[in-house]
Amino acid sequence: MYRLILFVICSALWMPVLVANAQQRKVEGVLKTMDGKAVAHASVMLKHSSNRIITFKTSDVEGKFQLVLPDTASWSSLFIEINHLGYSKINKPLEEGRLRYDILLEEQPINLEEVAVRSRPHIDSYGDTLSYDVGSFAREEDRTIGDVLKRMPGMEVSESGQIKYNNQAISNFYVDGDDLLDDKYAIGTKTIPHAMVQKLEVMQNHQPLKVLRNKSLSENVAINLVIKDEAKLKMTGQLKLGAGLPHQYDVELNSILFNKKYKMLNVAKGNNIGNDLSSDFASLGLGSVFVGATGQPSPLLSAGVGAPSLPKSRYYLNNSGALNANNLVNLSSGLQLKSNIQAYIDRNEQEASHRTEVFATGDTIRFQEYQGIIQDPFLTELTLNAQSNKDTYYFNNGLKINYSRETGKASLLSNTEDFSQRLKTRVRDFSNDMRYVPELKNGHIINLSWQLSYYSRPQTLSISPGLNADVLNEGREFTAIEQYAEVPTWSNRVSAGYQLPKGKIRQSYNLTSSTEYQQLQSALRLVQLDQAVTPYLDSNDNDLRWRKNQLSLSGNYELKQGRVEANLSLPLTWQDIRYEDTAFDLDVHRSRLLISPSFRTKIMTTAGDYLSFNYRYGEQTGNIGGIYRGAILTGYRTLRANDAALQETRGHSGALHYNFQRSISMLFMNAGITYNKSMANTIASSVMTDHISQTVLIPFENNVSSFGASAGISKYIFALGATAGLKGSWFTSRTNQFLNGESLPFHNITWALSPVIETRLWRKVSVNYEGTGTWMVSRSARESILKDRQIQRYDQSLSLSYSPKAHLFLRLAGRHQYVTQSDMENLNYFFMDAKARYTLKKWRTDFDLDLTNLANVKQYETFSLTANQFSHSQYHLRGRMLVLKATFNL
Amino acid sequence: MINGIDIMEKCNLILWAVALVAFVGKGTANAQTAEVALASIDYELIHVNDTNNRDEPVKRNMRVYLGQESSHYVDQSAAEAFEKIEERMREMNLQRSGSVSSISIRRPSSRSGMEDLYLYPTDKKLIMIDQISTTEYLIEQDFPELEWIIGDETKEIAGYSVQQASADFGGRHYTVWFAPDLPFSFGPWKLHGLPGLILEAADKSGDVQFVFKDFGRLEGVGRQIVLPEKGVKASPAQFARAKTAFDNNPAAGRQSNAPAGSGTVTSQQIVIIDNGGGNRRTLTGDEAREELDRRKLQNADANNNPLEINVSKK
Repeated sequence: MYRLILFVICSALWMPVLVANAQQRKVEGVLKTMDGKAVAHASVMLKHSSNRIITFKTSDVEGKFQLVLPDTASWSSLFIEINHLGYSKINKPLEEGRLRYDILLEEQPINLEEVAVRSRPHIDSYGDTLSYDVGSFAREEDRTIGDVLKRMPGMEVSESGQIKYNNQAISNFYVDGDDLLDDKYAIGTKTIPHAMVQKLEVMQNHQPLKVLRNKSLSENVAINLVIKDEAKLKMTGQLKLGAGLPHQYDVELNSILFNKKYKMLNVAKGNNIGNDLSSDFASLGLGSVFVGATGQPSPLLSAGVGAPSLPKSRYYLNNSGALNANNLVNLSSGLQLKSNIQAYIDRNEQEASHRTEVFATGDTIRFQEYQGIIQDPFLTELTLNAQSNKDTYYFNNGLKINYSRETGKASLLSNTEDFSQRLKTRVRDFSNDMRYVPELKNGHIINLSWQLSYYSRPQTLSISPGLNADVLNEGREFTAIEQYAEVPTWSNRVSAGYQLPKGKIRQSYNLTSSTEYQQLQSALRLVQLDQAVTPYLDSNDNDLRWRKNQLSLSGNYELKQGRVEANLSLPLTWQDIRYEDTAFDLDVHRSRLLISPSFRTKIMTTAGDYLSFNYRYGEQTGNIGGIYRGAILTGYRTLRANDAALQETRGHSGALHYNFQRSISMLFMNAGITYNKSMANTIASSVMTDHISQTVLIPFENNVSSFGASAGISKYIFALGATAGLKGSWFTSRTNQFLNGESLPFHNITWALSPVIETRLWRKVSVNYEGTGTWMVSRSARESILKDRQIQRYDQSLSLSYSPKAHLFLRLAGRHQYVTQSDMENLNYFFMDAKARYTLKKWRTDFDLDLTNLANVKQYETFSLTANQFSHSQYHLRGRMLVLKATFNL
Repeated sequence: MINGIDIMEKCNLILWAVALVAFVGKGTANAQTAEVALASIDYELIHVNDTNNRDEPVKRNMRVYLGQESSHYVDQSAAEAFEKIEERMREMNLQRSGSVSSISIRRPSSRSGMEDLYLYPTDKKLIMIDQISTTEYLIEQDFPELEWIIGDETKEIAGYSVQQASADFGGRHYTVWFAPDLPFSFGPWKLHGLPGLILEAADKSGDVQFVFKDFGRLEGVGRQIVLPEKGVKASPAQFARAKTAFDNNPAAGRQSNAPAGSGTVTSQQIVIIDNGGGNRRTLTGDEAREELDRRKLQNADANNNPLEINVSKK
């Protein structure tokens, strides 16, 4: 070893001689600091003007260096560069003939700020957790974590903001381990800057309750944003101010703080540029604690507002404001307190016309309508949550209070009648959810929960002048219709469970008692020409009282052995329902036993891949919405009542799913088939005319079945730096319609294929392509009467992004829709948008110029086909728009 | 890599061997001064360590902490996985004292290419850290001197401009890509000495590849590049002798190293990190024992293609 070093040193000493002999040109010199100290071990590079390094030497202990010049290069094209840590960078051009360069280096504190931090896209995996390196997937143009998420292979973000991993919707969206946003995480993906996030973790088989971890199987997938250490230190925020033509504004103020103890995400927004702020309040996850005892009754009345199959921002003529305040504090005792407050106010307008054809035997019912709708929704929601999630116990109490109201006014033209309609809705609801899960000394687990909720939604539908006089008012003309309906609902549920998490088969038993009280009240009133208010004569008002008690005992058995997991659940429910409405002499008391066993198994074929199978048999009874006897005008064209006993449904469902993931090669695949069959003892029977449809629920053995198959693949292609994916699905369903006294079986088939690719060309241009092709066929069992109906639809978007220089970014995006349908004219739409962004680093400000709908497409037509109904709609769109925005980073 | 498999076998000889190394080590003496890590770089090491099984190369995330005058190369997959386990165990031990006893050991293997290495070019020193049971040893290795030939080719890796260079080392001919804009003369494993950080390296046969993953700055993080404080100095030969003895009978060595009071072990955990880059499985009891035996057999003939082909052991 020493000999070798000695040899090297000796050789170095002799070098000048040898070099001189060979007529090689060399330059030499010494590196010194200002005060004369030698700078050792610094790399001295000899570079060509093209910035290519020709040769280099490391300075010795005395700071000396010597560089041998190539024979060919001219001196003028060469320079010496020294970039040594702790010293200022030196560039010194060679001077013709000069062989000695003594260089003074200026000491300076090490500052790596100008050194770019970059990485190559990658995903790491640890057991059930995949960890996406966020910085490596981010591009220049990305701002929020949602922007980057879309580029990650295996991940998918729907237009609603819902996140799916390998085609499975996520259950929780954590920020540094805390579930700050509950299931309303869209505001998080839209607001949190990606630069704050180090890693995005995907946790499979996620169990949110620590006390149940490794003791209970879970199929949930959750996402966790790992926040960078430096981003935890202080509060950050952004102020966005935008204004545009014609008469547009878009403003936002947000503040973000994510540290271990305290987390907040508060956002105030307002705009009239078509940005739907209510989508921030949509429940997207599965992990909500507010499951409620029975769920909320669906609204009885509807204004009949349709929506085109376009992103909402294309047709949403709004003026909205929203406040979204999410705050969480972790106390030292381990207790976590959280409040989520949402408020939203809006006024939006929509203009549309619809033409609907309903095919009945030997007859086609047609109606046309034109709608001009103005809606004024107002919504507030407060959620307070206290949680303690420890290895030995879990406690959670969540209180949710919600108040919202909405007035929808419409002027309509139906066939030839001109009228106006107003639907007023007010929702008040609260629910409290408490859960306590302690682990006992013997390792067994107790699971206690209590849920109490109240829900009310009074609705009033007013129509003037009076329509359908022959049906509603014995043929006499009248002034107006007033339909009132509400179903206040109380529900209470108490449950106690005992879990034995040890042994080969883990067992748990649960006893649940639930009660539901409802009262359906409705009144249909007609205002006569003389302003007298009279009731609708053909039917009494509803005053239906409903009580449902359920007591259920369930046993749940889990097995985990090697690569196999299995779960069997056997619930047995005693149900007692009583409903009465004296006006209809209705007093029914029903008791019965329900069984709904389910089985699920999962076989890990390798560490990351699995095959799963689910089967479920369910027995269900209908709800209050299917038994009221008095007629309700649920829309201006639909009069509905029931004439049947309580609906009873039995159903089988089964699914087989395969999941494949390779984090190293960033390859994700999934495939699955599902089958559902359900048998009900009633069917909705409609009698339709061109003006009104009357629906009753009548006894009928109604079988409905569906079968679906889907597969998807997503991969990062290293050679192209591209994320590419392909999804395909096939879905078939068999349903029945009962129309004008006749049962019509239908068979619908849908095929869909969606390719996605995101890549970069010539290092500078980002290309994003997304396409969806859908083929739909609807077939009637009586082909002689109804022809097959087919619709094909191709929806493709392409965007090109280009960054000509740092801090400037341009994008051009196009979306093409093509619809073809037998016997109809083809539909062809093309939308084009452009965007430019300039970042002014000094001001920490981004300037955005958005141009939307360049082609100024203002009308949009759409077809839809469901069983025996064909509709053709025409919507008014937002036209061309220009908005200039400035985003200040506070 | 595992503690507490309760095989009670006696082999005093081995104990002696371990004790000898400890003695020869003469305590701790770190000539190299600690310095702050300024940045770090992650590579994916892809190594065909078994030429009979080329389809399944070893894949590991390796990290180099970069200082002004020193670097530290470490198996990041292992470090992260073990950090997580340790954290979990701390939590568990806090909650139910004594019912679970398990000691994780940081460095599960010192397989060729995944060694824990500290490089001090100024002093021309290379120190490898290895472990026998829970004791860490500082083993001084030959300082790698590489005669780089700068190539003409340049390209871009993840946005950095890089230039090609090549050198022979350890019986292999390496072609590397280094970034002059990143002023660190370090790189993966023992490759270093260029006027810029080495982002990628591959040997001529393609059996050894270091692929760039991340570069990050560590300012304000406060991580130090410092040799383990309690590390015991040993020569490569001394260490190899003790290691062989220990590997032949791990139980004896473990007993001698197990902390007091760990006699009442009620459950054991073994953590398996596979070649796929840190897929972690936690096994218990018999499963763990089987896995260990299987791996031992596998490793015996699997490692026929080490990174350094012509290592002359002194």
